[in-house]
Amino acid sequence: MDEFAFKVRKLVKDYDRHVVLDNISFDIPAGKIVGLLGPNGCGKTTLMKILAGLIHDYQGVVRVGGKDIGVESKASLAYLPDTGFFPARFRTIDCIKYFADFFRDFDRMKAVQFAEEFGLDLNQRIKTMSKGMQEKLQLLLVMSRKADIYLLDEPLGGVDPAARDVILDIIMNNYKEHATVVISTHLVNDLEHSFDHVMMLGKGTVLVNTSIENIRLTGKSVEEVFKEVIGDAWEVD
Amino acid sequence: MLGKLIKHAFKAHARAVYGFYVAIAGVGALMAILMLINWENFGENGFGTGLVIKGIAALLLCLTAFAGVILTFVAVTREFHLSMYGKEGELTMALPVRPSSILFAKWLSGACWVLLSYAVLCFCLFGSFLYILRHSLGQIQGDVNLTALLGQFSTLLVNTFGLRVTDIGVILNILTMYAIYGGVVLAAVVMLFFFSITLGHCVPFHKLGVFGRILYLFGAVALGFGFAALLNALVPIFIVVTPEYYTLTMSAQDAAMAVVYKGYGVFSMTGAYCWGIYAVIVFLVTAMLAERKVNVD
Repeated sequence: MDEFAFKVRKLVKDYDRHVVLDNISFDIPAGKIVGLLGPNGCGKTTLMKILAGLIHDYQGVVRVGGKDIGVESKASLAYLPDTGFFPARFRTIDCIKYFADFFRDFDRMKAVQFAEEFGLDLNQRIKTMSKGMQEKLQLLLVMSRKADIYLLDEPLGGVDPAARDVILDIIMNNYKEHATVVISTHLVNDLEHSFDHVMMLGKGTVLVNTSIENIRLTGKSVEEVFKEVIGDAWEVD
Repeated sequence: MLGKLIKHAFKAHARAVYGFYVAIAGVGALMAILMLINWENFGENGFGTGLVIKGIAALLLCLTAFAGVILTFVAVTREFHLSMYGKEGELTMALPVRPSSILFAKWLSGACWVLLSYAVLCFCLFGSFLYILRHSLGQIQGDVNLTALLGQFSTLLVNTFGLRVTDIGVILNILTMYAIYGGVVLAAVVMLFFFSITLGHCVPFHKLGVFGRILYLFGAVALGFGFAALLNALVPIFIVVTPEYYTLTMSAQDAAMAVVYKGYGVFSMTGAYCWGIYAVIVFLVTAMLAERKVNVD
């Protein structure tokens, strides 16, 4: 495993000439819990999709765990998108089998145990599940992998405050030791105590990329720094 | 991994098309029931009425089978679109496999299901034709067996196309060649659908939306015909079927003369192999696009 989970150089991504990531460069150290923070529309999801190998038409150099994006990087990266990705016809058990078929680091027993623990019926179909149940199932499956890197896009996005603690517990208690966990969110307050490192995006650029220790040295909380630096960067351009 | 991809592709397609096979089985069962009924028990006009109803059932079977081929195409392309570039694409394209492997698995499965639907259509058409022929002949000759039916079928083909090849085995071989040719073309068309959907998700081709994808499909089909015409002119290969032997010729003139002056059967190999080659080329281009150009967003 490389010293850095991600190395990005001069990354540019636009949607029909509307620049979302504007020539950004950064390194994310390996083995940290990283908060990817920024207002809605600042490019967090786009960046995550690029790192997960879902977006290809960008400029610049992106390396994940010391490798170019490809089969190897995807094998060592567990990605949780902010939308449902299973076909509606799938049952919980089908989702578990699917992950077991394709991810060598997937712990099937753990996933079944998780499902039972969180009240997910193994034979229930996705189309009959609530949005919250679907999100929980996807998170449980992703966290049943022993990946080197976890990329979690807005895992707390659509859930009520009570469920946030449960989700946060699932994440914090189940990632592989020494793995890098990147959590994108705009709910800074809920997560700031969990982070080792934060990266803030705004106006298409990296506004802050530093460790929590460095932020604490300023005598401010992550939320205060977030409000300060995001300030007028609420819009993409 | 490829085996698992193929397994999942087959399962996904099976779920999408099984309704069609249930419908075919239903209409087939109806035909079997209609065959077992003794229509002469239904009065003076019973036999004629039975014949009309059986004819309608045969037509219904053929139409269901034809609709099945279209629906299988729709199901296969819809599944491809959703699982590659829709929401499911966030999982599919994040799998630790090359997009070309995913594409190949979906093509293999999609082509197999389309070919199965096509085989069912051919079987229904041929079966319905023999069914109607049997009833027509039955009225004249009483009970008719399968050999006699195939003999009549062969005579019909010989008379219709002016062939001098009368051996039913040879005629069935020519039909088999055409069936294989149809299969190759259908498998190629499945790939053309995949290509047009993939191109429609690439920048800047995505701007035209669904209309663009249809346009790219027609463009790819037209290019295929152009490629076939080019190969036909440059490297034509024909199989000439005579009553005694099969022979290969690369001369279009010889092939035409064999049909026109001698009444032999001729099958153009060029069509089959050029669509096969074209499908492989389009597969490679589509795989490259899926690997380097397409976004799941």
